[in-house]
Amino acid sequence: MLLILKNGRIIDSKIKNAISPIIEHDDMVKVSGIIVHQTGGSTANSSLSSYKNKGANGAHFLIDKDGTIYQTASIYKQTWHVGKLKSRCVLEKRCSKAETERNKTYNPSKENEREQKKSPPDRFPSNKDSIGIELVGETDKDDNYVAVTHEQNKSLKWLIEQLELTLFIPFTEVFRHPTVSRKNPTEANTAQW
Amino acid sequence: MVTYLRLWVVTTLLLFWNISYAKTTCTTATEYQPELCRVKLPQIVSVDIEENGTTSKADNEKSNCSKFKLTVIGVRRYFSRALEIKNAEDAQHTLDWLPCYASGTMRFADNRKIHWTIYQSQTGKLVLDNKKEIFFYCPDCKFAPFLY
Repeated sequence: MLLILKNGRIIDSKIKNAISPIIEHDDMVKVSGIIVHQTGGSTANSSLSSYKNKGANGAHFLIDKDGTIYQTASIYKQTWHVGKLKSRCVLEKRCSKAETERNKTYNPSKENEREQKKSPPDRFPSNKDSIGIELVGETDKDDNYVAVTHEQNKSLKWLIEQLELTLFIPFTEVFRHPTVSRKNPTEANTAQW
Repeated sequence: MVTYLRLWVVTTLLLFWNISYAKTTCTTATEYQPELCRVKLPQIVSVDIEENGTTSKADNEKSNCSKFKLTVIGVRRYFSRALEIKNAEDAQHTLDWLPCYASGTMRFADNRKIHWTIYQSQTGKLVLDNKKEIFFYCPDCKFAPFLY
């Protein structure tokens, strides 16, 4: 179990405080899931310094290649780490006839609007109700994300277990970023938890 | 005294105009779009297309991208409308990714040869001589063959 302060900061010897209020938005009343990302940059420093820029976006945690965990946003605040949601019923093959028909037309904004009106687990966790975990990792010349390191996976597994226990998040509600929105499919595909 | 007052008024107006101008050159970040800034590229003298209707190697579904074919006019049109993504790491949080792309080189009026890539999702990038990458998004590129 994690010890969480009133302001959403976690007190644990394994987690370094690097909270940047710039990437925090509205209050997060309920946490429905966890989304695992890769940053696209090769160092933790580039992400941490970018989180200080006006208008920057980030997630709640950042795990460096050596496994160091940084908390970058309060877990009681939303961060904009997900993007437009994909239709969950498509992935789970349980869309109604009407929904299947609507999803035939490519329109990610409308699809996202429709999903946002649902509640989890009918939709994927969104910016409103999910914790984002970033793993430091760049892409190569072919757009493939580099493999997640052993140390990163070890830290990721520990962090997800702790968050699930502390915030009562079902293990079925932890996703790689490209599962929930239209992203490079190699992002976090070597992440294990 | 009157001259000083005039000077003060002119300076204040100029300062206000500059601040307003600076503000309007960048958009405010939203939940689904990063902060975008207008950037003035040098005049494009020539465009070469090397890959067209190509599927990204990162796409494990091996999508058919044959419908995403850009013309030289389309490339010029894209870079005349595209805005720079101020913070590149933001793009992967907020913007969609699609596997289809076109790429090639272009020559600027200052004789620099630059490598460009444009994705079907209206994102793109330029790679400068020093390997520095500039990332773009073009919300106004609502024309074929882009998907939006």
